[in-house]
Amino acid sequence: MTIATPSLISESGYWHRFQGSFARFWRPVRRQRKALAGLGIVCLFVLVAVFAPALAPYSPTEQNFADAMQGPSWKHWMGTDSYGQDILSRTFYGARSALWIGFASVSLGLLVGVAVGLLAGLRGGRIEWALMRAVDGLLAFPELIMAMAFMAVLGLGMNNVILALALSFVGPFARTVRADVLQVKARPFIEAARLMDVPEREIILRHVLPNIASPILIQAGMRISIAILLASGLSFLGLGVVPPTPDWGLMIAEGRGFISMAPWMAGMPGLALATLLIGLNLLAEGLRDALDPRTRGEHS
Amino acid sequence: MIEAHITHPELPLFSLLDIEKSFPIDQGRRRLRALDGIRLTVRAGESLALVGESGSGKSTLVRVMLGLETPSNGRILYGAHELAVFDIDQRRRFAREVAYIYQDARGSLNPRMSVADLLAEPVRLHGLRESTEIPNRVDELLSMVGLPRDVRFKYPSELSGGQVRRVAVARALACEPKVIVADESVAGLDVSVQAQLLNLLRDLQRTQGLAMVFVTHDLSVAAYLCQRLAVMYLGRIVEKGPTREVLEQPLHPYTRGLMKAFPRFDAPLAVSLQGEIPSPANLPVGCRFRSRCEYAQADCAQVDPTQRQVGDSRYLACLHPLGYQAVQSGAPAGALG
Amino acid sequence: MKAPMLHVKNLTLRRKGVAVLDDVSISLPTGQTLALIGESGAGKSTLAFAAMGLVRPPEVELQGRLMVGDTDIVTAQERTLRQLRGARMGMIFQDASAALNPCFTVLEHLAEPLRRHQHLRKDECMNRAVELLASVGIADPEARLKAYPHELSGGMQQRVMIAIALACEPQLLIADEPTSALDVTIQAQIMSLLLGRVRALGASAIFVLHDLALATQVADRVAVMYAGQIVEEGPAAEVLNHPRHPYTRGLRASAIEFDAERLSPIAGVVPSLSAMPPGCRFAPRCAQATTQCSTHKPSFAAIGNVGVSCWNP
Repeated sequence: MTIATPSLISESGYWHRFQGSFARFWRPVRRQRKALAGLGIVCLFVLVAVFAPALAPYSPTEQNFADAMQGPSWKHWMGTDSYGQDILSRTFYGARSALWIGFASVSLGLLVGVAVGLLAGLRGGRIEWALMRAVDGLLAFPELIMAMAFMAVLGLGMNNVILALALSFVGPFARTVRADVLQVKARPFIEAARLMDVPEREIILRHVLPNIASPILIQAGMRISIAILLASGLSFLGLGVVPPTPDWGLMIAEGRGFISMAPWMAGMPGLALATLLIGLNLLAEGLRDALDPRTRGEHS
Repeated sequence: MIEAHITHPELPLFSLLDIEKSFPIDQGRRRLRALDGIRLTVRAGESLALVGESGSGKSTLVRVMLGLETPSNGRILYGAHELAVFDIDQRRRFAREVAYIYQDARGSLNPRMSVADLLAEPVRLHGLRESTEIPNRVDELLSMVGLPRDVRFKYPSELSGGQVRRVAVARALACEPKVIVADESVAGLDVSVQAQLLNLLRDLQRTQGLAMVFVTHDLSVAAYLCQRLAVMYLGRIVEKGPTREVLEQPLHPYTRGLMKAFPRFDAPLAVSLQGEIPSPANLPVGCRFRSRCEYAQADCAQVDPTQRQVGDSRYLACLHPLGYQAVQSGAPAGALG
Repeated sequence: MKAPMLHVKNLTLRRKGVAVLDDVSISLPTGQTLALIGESGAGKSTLAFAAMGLVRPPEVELQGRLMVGDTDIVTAQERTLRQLRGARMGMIFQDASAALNPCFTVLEHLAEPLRRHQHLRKDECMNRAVELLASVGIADPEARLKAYPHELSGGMQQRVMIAIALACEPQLLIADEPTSALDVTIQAQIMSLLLGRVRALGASAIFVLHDLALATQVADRVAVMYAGQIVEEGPAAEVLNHPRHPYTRGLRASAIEFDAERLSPIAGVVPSLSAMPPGCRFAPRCAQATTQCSTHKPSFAAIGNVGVSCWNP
């Protein structure tokens, strides 16, 4: 994103500048079909998640054993599961859980990771060494395994899933942020600012942060899809969200045993999950391509 | 040294005394002598060109002058105070009075800041204007460097190379400095853009009475912009004096070789100096220029000439200068130039 | 009279619909050197690359004729061009460190054209390589053969590039800003060497330069380019010391020289290639433009032995 450094000039041009800033961001994105397609898909899911109560024909936890294990029909567009719960409704509500977990865990991981990375990159010396060794430790474990371990310690439930995932994201973020900070630190305009005797605090806020924000945020966006996949994985393994919360991972787990008899039980949430992930990835990649200064054709 | 200061009617802005700077290379086994025995002053309102080719140390010298590198030896004074022991207020004052224009002008501007913000930053920092006055000051600076007002809200990536350099000049002027230090500010530009920028710098120097230290490899640029010239070779100032004089009658073989090498409309292609510039890590014994000097003699391989005064305000580091009959051995090596 | 080495007639080169070269015509007799001068974006490097056959469809559209010797580059097959390049045409690039492959030694670089075009055996290659390095002024050539590009200084790298370009004794040498990246004292050495070798081979050469004074020193003829067109061309000393086209005059007036009193830069900026004015492309910046200049593209007129594309030279 073209995160512009907060303006020193408060003039009537401020609104014009904000519009200009947004336009600078929007124009290249608009040209990128990939980003738009991804954006479309993600928006769709967000809308579904937000308006799930209005959109879902049934309550997600409404059980009706008479109608259990029915295939897709006019009454139940995506069929029902072994408890007679409407799969369409559960899929809609599942979007809520997926998106919330994805967003919250990445945000939390980002916050902590950026703090660690900034500290390490700017301070250097022993602090950097210590922090990076800690990060190395975190990164030694595959994310899913580590999340599973955390869940085992913390117990099940959505909030713990968010926590566990956030913790496993701190490592990658910290490492990337530190590398970006080091790269920015070496650029001439940082030295120029020091030469002008700009106070250190201002150098961090005005000069360093805005220049690392763009790649970090795009990375964060990409990580949301990883988070959602991991969360679904945890739920699938029974180490995530607890039933009867509508969650795609749980639904796939339930449907696994009935794959040949009632493929829609696992199929529908699986399809939803795959589509959302594709949408997120398209969006993130499209944004990255659209905003890369080289592909924008600017003076580099 | 201090006595020389007190006798001067006005303290020079910069005084460099026997500056040496070396870098460890080869994992600390050898040292690269980037600067060796530099003696230099810059007075208020004076324009000085530092001319040299690669390996001459001109960029290192400038960085040492600005406090970005500490010299391995020697002292740098700004006014009457040593750079190395500046306190916070002196540091602030120095940052305000000495402005630096980077060779990589585009890289020296924060790509996330608009032109207006870039120009406002030093003004705000040094409290030079009330915040309501700042937009006016920005407009003033833009017109000083010949940029249209509507670039205010543009970002560096939206500007051409010539425009970016002008923004860098404007930013340097924003803090109302006493000295502008510019590193190869016109290299690599199209002829016409280069001409515009040179005219701008020259006019600014004259109208604002700024002192200027201009690093360049191009003698003709030095001639156009600066009253004084210091020619550097492998970390040493080999010749120094008023630009006109030095170029009309160069005393050091390197200066003469450099002049001959520049393409001219009225002269055929002339190969003046053979051989390559030795690496600063492997300096020849004796005079460092002798490997390429056509006038080298036996003693040039033994003695490393230091800077001596030869004439009114000319200084030279050569055992056998060109065509100067009576080399005045008057002022001792400790004279400041 | 021998056919000219290079003969370009009404060459138009379009990249994505934009005419990067517009109706360019020029001729270079055998054994002479031509300097293409102009500012960035003028098309001089494009013309030089096009002459080597390095800019071709489908990336660009080419119209007109571009003859090197008796081969028409525009219509030639890639196979034909590959045989020409290296054998009859040699190219020297601006940045030697980027043009030399860091994975190959000097010997391997030199051996490539020798084996390919002259089919020399290994030992013959070695001997010829030593010969070539010596001819470009490299001391101790046998030792240098084993060096990798990054072990050589900028000047040496450029000499190696010259040796490679001249390895098969081409009849046309194209040099794109061969000395811009070098120190000025080395520049003089390299240019002098290059000219010497070219003359010794009786070859023709095209130099792309931005330094006008250097152009007078090294070229027999000069062509001044602006926005994809040639605006003036003729004998170098004549064109650059007595310029007739307003742009050439402007360039001369803004070129810095030792005793320049005041530089007079040309007003305005080069318009973008996709938004060229009708009529004369330089008209918007020209002090002596008339209405005819803004509406009608000037024809190429001969004034003495200089060709000028201007209504009021």
